Amino acid sequence: MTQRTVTRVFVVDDDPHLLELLALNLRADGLEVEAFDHGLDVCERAAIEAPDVIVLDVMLPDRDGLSVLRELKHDPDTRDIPVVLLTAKATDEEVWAGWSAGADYYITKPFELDELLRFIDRLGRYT
Amino acid sequence: MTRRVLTLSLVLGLLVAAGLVLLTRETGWLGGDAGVGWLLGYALVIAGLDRLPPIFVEHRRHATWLTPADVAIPLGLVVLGPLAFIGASMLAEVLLTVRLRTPPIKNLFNLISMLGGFVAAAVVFAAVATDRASDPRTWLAAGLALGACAAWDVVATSAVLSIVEEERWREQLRVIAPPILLGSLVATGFGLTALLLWIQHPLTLLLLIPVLGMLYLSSRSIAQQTSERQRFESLYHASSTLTRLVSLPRMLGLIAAEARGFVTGSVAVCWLVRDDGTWSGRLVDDDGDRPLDTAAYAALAARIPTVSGTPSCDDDDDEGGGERVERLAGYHAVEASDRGLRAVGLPDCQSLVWSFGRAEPVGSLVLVVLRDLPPDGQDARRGGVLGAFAAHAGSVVANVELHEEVRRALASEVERNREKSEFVAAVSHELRTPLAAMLGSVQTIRRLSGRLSPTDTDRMVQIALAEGARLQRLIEDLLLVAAREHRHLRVDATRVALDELLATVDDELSVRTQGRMVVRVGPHLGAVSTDRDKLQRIIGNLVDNAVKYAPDGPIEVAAAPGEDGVVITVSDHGPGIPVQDRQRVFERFVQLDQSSTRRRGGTGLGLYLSRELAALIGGSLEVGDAPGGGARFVLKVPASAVDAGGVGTPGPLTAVRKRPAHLTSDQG
Repeated sequence: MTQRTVTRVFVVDDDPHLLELLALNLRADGLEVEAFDHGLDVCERAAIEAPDVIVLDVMLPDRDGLSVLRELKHDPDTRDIPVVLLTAKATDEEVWAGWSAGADYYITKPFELDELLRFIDRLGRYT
Repeated sequence: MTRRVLTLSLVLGLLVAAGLVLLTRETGWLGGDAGVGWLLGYALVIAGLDRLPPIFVEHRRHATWLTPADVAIPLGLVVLGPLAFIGASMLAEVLLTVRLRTPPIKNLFNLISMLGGFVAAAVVFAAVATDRASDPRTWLAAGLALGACAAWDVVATSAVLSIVEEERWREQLRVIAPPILLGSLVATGFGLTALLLWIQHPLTLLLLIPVLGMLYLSSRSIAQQTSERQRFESLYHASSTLTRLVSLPRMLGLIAAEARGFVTGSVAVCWLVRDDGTWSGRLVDDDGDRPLDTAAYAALAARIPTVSGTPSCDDDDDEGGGERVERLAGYHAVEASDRGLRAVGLPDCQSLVWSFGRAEPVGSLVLVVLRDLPPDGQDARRGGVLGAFAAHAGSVVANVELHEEVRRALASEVERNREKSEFVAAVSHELRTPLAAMLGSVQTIRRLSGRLSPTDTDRMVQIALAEGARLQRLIEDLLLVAAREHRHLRVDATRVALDELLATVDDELSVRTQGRMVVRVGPHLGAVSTDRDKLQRIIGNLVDNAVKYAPDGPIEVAAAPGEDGVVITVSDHGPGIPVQDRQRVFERFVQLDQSSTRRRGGTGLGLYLSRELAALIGGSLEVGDAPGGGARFVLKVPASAVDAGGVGTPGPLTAVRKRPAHLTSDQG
């Protein structure tokens, strides 16, 4: 049973405040955080940097978060990276859209910080 | 040839003929007619076997039963006859270049032509048998019978039934058909008579039986198919009438047409709707349909004949069933007679001969009848009938109008509900975002209580406060939007001096503008009477936008006198707003540059509200290009605020009460 240690996290959200506090929390837990306020090059960077988790907001200024998710899941280099979808949209259709686009987890805003951080932590025991 | 054989053959022939008639009665099959014709010929020939040419007779003398020749000759004959007919018929069709469908009556005429064609062939044979082949009259009779019947088949059926597809032939055929019909009838009769005279066998009279039988069956089939066609036509007519009932002008036209059938004179139908005290409507008469206005009504009234004398200005004179309306001045409604009729007045002093009306909650139907004959003793009764008709017609129109209104109201209600749920979805999304950041930062402080540096703690607090403030602003804006929607906003007008107002704005926003705001108040700028709070909010929002979108350069706020009141402009040196987005920016939750606006705590409702508030105080807000290359917002404020509460999206009830557009437009 290989243990996967989570060391690097991508956080993608267009809200700068949220981005800041997420980064702060994750760094406080000893994780390396790379923050994006846009979706354009997330996939590219993920292929190069190989993060262990990606926290992705659905509403992004330049492109739809779901399309970024689909791209991530399509690319063999990034397919296995677990993605947590973060959004203020909470209708059934949108949740379903998120799941069917390949999200590994879906959190709606406002959320419990602990829940998100616990999930990321649990990924450390991912097989 | 024994009598027994002859009789047997005749009976056999008749039986087969009868059988074929029965077989083909439903289908009206041309072949069946031919078969009948052939068998008739067969019977005919059998009857005439006594007159066989000597060569055949000689051959037969030695036979006791039917020889092959006995069968072959008549068969040959029955083939000849129809072939001759078909050939002639086709030739005629080709010559006249008409295309025929196969109507029911054609069966009847087919038979007659068949008979005629066969008669011709039989005449020839009989002539030969009786040594009359050299007689030219024989050949004349045969030719006449054949040709005439072929022509009958083609021409008569076409002309009578108008089944010719080429329009140009129809009229011509109608003209030439009767003489040809007559001629062919005569020729056929002549041929048949000649044959009977020549053969002189009593049993030939039996030939009439299948002929009559076929005639009867054909005519029954014709009647069936004709009534079928009539049913189709009446159904089509009914459906086209029903279609007309959906469209108001067409329905009015239908009513006018029906009424016209009853009276001598002109009929016009008016459908009037009263909305906020004024009448509007639709007029349908001989000239077509148009909106009802003074001019249209005057044109209608101008057609009144001088029979009723010069236009007088007497009061209404109730005569029996109708109302003779002779004076109509201004809009007025005359109270109904005890039959519930009500005449609706229209402007201008004109006279009408008859007017019957019925008022409904939805509108009034007025049937205007202009008679061109002097009044007679029947007028009262006529009036009664027309009055009742107008009453019914009015109910029908009212029903249709109500239905239309309800349908429209429903459609607009559905649309509004859709807009509402979209708005709710957008709002919930907008509210959650700052809440997430606010709660998140506070949660961060709690869970990292020991591990957080003072700087970071401070930062988290700052974020929490900023997002909280953003949330507050958003809620305020949303409440304003809701109040605007429900017309709860009032205009509290006070005297506002522009220079003082702008100075206040500058002061309040100084933290954000950081001194970039430049105020220019034109000379001789008077004060305006308007809602100070709202005006300040609008200007503040515009300046705030400039701060957000134009990070550098001055923000110029200028106030100058305008056409009526004041024109305030806010210009920046930012990137400006592209032409295609100039109306979009005023929509709810539209932010052209989402991320940077969020960074500065925007709500997405600022411009929407500003425009709504501007309209509320009687002004307007538009955007264009600034001389410095950025955006310039132009706010027009009237000198005295008009509570333009009517502007804005109407509620569903309002949508129903609004005058239907189709009454005033020229669309159907």
